Amino acid sequence: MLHEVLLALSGYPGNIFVEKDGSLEVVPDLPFIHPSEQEILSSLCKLGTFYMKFKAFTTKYGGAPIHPGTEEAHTSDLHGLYLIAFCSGVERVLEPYRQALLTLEREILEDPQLTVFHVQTELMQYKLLFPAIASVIRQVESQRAHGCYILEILHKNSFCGMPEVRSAMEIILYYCHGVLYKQLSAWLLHGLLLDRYSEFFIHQGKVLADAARAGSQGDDDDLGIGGLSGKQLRELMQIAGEEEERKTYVQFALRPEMLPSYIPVRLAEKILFVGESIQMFEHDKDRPAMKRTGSILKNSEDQFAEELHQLSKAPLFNLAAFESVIDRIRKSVAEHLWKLVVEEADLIGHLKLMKDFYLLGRGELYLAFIDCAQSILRGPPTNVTEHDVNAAFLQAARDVLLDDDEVTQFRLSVQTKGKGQKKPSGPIPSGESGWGVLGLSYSVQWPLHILFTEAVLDKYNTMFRFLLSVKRVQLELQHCWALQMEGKHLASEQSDVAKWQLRTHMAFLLDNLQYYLQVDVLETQFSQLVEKIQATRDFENIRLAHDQFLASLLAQSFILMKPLDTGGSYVVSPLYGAQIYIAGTCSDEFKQMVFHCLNEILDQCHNFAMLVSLNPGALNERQLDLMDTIAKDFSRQSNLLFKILSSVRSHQASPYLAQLLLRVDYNKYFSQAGGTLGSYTAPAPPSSSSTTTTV
Amino acid sequence: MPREIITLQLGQCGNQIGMEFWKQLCMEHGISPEGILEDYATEGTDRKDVFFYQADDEHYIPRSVLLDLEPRVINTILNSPYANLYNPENIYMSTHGGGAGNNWASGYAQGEKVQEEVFDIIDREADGSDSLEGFVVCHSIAGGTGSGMGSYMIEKLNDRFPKKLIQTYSVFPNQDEISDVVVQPYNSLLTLKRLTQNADCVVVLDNTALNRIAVDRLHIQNPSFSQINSLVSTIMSTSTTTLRYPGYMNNDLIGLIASLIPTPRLHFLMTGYTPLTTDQKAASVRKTTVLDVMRRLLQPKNMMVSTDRIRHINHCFISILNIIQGEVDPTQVHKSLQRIRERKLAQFIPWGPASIQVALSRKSPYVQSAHRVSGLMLANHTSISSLFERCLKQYDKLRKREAFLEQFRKENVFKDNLDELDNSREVVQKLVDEYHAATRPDYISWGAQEAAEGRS
Repeated sequence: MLHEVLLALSGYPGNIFVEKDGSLEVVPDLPFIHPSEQEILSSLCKLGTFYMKFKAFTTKYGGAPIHPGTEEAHTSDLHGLYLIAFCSGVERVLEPYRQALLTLEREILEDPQLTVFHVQTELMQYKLLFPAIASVIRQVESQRAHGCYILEILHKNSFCGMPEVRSAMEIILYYCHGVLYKQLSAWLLHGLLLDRYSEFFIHQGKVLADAARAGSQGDDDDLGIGGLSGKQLRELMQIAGEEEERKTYVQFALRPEMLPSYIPVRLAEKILFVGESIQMFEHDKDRPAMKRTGSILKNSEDQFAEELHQLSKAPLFNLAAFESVIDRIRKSVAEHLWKLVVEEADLIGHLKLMKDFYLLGRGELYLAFIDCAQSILRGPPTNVTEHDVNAAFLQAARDVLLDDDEVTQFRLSVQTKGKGQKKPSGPIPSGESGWGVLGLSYSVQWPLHILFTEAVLDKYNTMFRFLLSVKRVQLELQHCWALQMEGKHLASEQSDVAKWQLRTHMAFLLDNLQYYLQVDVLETQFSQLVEKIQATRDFENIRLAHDQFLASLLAQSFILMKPLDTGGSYVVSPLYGAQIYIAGTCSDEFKQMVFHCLNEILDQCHNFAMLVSLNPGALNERQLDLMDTIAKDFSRQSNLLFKILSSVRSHQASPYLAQLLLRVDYNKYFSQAGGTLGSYTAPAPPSSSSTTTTV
Repeated sequence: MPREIITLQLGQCGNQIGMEFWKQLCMEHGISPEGILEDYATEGTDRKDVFFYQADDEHYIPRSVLLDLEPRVINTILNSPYANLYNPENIYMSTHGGGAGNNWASGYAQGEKVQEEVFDIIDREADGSDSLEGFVVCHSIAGGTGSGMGSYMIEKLNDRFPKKLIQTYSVFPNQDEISDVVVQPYNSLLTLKRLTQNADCVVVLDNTALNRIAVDRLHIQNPSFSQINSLVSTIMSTSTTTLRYPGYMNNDLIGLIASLIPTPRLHFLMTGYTPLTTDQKAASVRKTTVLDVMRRLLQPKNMMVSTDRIRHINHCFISILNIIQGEVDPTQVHKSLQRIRERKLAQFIPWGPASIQVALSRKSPYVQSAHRVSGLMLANHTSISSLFERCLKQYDKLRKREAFLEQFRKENVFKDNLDELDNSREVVQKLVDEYHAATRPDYISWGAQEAAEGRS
């Protein structure tokens, strides 16, 4: 009978122990079994049941991995390497149990007098262990645990007061970590994402420029030109066009749901960064630049591999040791990247270039360009606008004797509505004209594309458009100054005085805005950025500093990336400004209002300049009315701007508001005039009297 | 479209400071006295084409026209190492070579006579530029050629190129020493009228102040012309740096001066420079901050114009532009502005907005400087009127005695009467009045008041 017991314990039912509803049971009321024995046997049966279930589980999932893509992969709910490792772990844990059964069998054979109590005593420890394992398996099954999530479950369950359970969990965890370490070393050392079942906590995000390509894909595939399918054609073009190739870089991302809780997110991010960087370099191995720089990990690759291997052999997962290895790898990679980006790719030189072109550091270039392109961009853009504008840009660059090498890295783009791009958001001045949709693109050179991503260039472009519009209006007002100076030998007439006074105020506001933007914001932030880059030897810090740089630029130029929700009809009364003054809040709303204000002011200045330069002589009644309206709008907006700027009490929170205020209110004229610039008293229309009236 | 600027240098003084100016520009752009780009300067990103053009043989040639009614100074230039720098066709010396005899009327009349030949040169230069922005005239207002012929040229330029800017660097005579030119007050007054009515921007270089600076600040007992002229050339070259180097602002002349001149007639600028040294090697390298530079620029002793302190008028700045060169920490700019306002170091006009604009500019890499940071101030200050008042006073003294007028009566302008003198006095008096009015809050309605008074 004891053999029957042993068999049952091995998970095989017999005559005494029968399977019923998936569990083993003693056949009740057998005459030769004493009710007390019955009890013991029943409890042994439970062990047998567990074992049977374990076996079933491990045989079901522990076999060869299912090929992804086959039918089974979809139907089978649980699969993956971690699951297989988990099964091996379970098997490993069950090994002592099987040994115990063997020993028991030997003992029973040797000594037929042994009772069932002996069996029970020998297997006592498994009574505690098995339910725990069973519960883990249940969790895995019920939560449909996949990949690294299994680690999480195991980790949770290893917190257990029972030493047997704890050590068993750790053993299973150890097996699963084997897979993790394999994936990690592939990822960390070679940038390979060996993860066909998508179990790793890092996954491949969307391919960059996916959307752009998807749009053209449909057309391309249909266009079978001369035997070449669209797809092949595209592939050929990919090889030819470097720019196209750049866009095939793959983005990786963390999968938080897969990340075991005992690996902190910061660590995971480091892992992501390392792999991503290496991935990028592996990808570009055939590039000439790569050959020069050599392998990213250089000779330390073996060392790191060894260290990871050592870690994987450790029976217990040691977070501190793990992190320190990751840190070392990260440091080595970051330093290498730093060297590559800063020293070999001349990051600072490129940043200066970005500043010169995107941030209008080359004022003389844009001065010439605005001249050349004025007629092209005045109206709404057409299909040829982009070409013309680029020709003008090149011409301007030649005129100011710029290096062609530098200029050709930049290209202007004009987003026409025909392409279905969204209209520029917010009341960008003259949004309908070509100026509002002008953009600048920059062919980023390897390896700087990791810094100047599409999103980053977008931000640069936003700054570019804003700065260009300020510059443009400033130049228009300067042109009006020349007209004003033509009257230097004439006696002043009242109408002119008022008109020119308005121009002076407008120009003053714009000049100071320009100085604020260029000196207080751009130069200052840029010098800080360069300082930070030079102070570190870590690429991640550079990226961080650069992101901060852009964020502060946008914030301090009051530019909002998100569109205004009220969609342009955002007329703020001075009263509203006063309310905000009381509320004293400072945040996006402020910025939004300042930005709106500035745009309105730019608009009015533009209108003024148009009116004056098109009518250099005396204005007629209708034009005087128009002038009056412009003046009123301008003073209202300047008033609002003043109120917003001066209402910010805590200059700690947004010191740049105070900086702008200092410049525009330097001699306190602004505040003494009640915060209004451009007070314009309309002269009497010339028809009423030939001589001007006096105040 | 580099916004070219054509320089006209007239008379003894004009040619002397002009020559110093070109010397300085050549040094800063790495151009040899023969006009050839030095090897070390071939990679420069500076904008040489604003003031120079390249001849077919790669020579850099100044867009400069040298004019004089007597050959002495120009001959000195032609005997200097810089003889081959200029386009010989751009040099005009009067054939009889007698000069203007320190007489404005003579210079003016001769200007009229030679204008065709001179304008042939100017037109050729203007045609040779893509988008001419304007003219810079170097002259003195005291002598004969610079003042008389200069006046004529400014009038004519304004006529023929109404859309082009005219900026002048005008040297005002030294008041501390007795001039050998007795009719200097007449000359100055007549020139001032043209500077008021026909120039867009006048940078006043006051010999009185320049000499005082040389003596007091540079400790030169008897400053020579060349020492004074090196001060002048520093100012001239620095005030054009934003035009000559890539930068974010003030890339053209109009951008540079428009913000300084809010009303058309108040276009006389004074300058200040710091740190002042003539001999650059002598100075020890000092750590200079932006605040130091900006504060020193506001001190009267660094101003290149000597103004009198007048009690009853509250003179004030109409506008200020500081061009700061060198290694500047841009974060300091805001702090300096704040500090200057807190300490009320600069008094501004009450009738309109005004501020200190600070442009950070590059320094020539080819010129060694002992100072990390240097600064030039271009300022529109109402106290400049005291210079004109001084001129009026001296004129009145002379005129009362009807002294030295015979020479003037010989020329066409004064043949019939002396109306031109009276008219000029009126114009200059009005300029002084306007500057005084600009110290008051009601300046904006001043023109109208004047007009009303004139009618009633």
